[in-house]
Amino acid sequence: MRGDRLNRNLDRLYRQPVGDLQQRQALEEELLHRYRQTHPRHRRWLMLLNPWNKTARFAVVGLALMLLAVGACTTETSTQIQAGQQGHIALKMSGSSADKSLEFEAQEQITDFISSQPGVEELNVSVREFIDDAGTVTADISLMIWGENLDAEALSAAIQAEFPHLDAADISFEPLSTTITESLFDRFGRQVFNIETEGSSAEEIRTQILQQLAAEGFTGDAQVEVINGDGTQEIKIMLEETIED
Amino acid sequence: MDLRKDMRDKRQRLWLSLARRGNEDAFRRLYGELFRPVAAYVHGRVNNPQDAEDVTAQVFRNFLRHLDRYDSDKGSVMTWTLTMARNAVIDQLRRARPQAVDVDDLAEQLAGSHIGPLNRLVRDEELQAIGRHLARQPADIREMFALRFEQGLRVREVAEVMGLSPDAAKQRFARTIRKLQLQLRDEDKGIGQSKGESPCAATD
Repeated sequence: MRGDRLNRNLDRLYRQPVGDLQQRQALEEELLHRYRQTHPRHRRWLMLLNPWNKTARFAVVGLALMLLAVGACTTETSTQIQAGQQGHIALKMSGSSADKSLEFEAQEQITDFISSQPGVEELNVSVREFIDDAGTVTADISLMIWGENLDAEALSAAIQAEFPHLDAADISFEPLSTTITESLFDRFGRQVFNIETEGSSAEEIRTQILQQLAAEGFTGDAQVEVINGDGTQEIKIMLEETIED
Repeated sequence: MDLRKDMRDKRQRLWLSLARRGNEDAFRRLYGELFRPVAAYVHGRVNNPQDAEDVTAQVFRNFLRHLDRYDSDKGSVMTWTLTMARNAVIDQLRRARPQAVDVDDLAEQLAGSHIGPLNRLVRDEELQAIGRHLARQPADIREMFALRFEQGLRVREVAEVMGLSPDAAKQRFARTIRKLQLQLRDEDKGIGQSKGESPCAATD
């Protein structure tokens, strides 16, 4: 007889149903009674560690989610964001005061033009003049152009196209970066929704949100509800979009 | 490697660890898994059903009292509990037979009584033959087989429960299996008895 067959037969030979063991229930009750006495309730909170307990599983998962949410709302994170472009336009000026006033007008036109470019939210301008040994005056127009996702090359090209006499001017841009500190929750909200609102009336806010959602490429149905409370403002946004395969 | 037994051991170890810390649910589950093998072991060795119930209850009371003493390095929870059951059975048999003070004197009872009565009910000739040969084995070998196949212990766990060295238990077990195979083969050929052999004589 082969070994595995012998083992199977031995299993069959020995395995037999244990008779009616009514003792089990009574003994269980007695043991649990003793157990509660020897293991007082204050030690039993650790039952949450029992992975076979369904209630404990839900409790642990719920607790973990709650801690995660609290952590996300309180944990601060630093993020480097692109806030705009810093530009320099070095403009050679002639010496006469009449020319100077004209050129200052040109500077104003340039700044007005930049301010009107798409994506530009704010513009800070400072002008410094340098006079070299030959008496040539150079105006260094320093621009702080605020706005996300500004394209420096496009901006430079637009300026030179609008002001052909700046062909000889030295125009340079470098990104304006800043580090912001915010909670993980805020960061998530900013990255996912990227929505900002300003305005007082609920209708204004609702319109702004709908416009920004459309600008973000959202094409589904959006319901925005603005509830003004006592010193608080609650905004509920419900988005529904059908995704086709 | 027996994955099912490994899982059982890990599960029971975890329950015991939780039960020590006051987890009633873990204790209940552990009891639920251990009751049947312990009760089967005790009822197979203590003839009086009332005494068997008392011994089973005593095993679990000891189990609860010594919950904090279990050392996972020394074996599985199942082995630990069955060792307690074996000791409780020995105590019970000593109480019933005060003249028998040595464990060897109690070997017949410890070997278990399953094979005899069960074998009478078995119609399968092959099983009957195995039962017959096993019944002729020395008591300690029968106890070894009972723990191995009745309780589903590994051979090294059988050694732990019986207080033997694992190597010795493994050798004796393998030798008996070989002998059993030979005797069954001879019986199949109908030459076992004709040669005047004494099948399944003492194995050691």
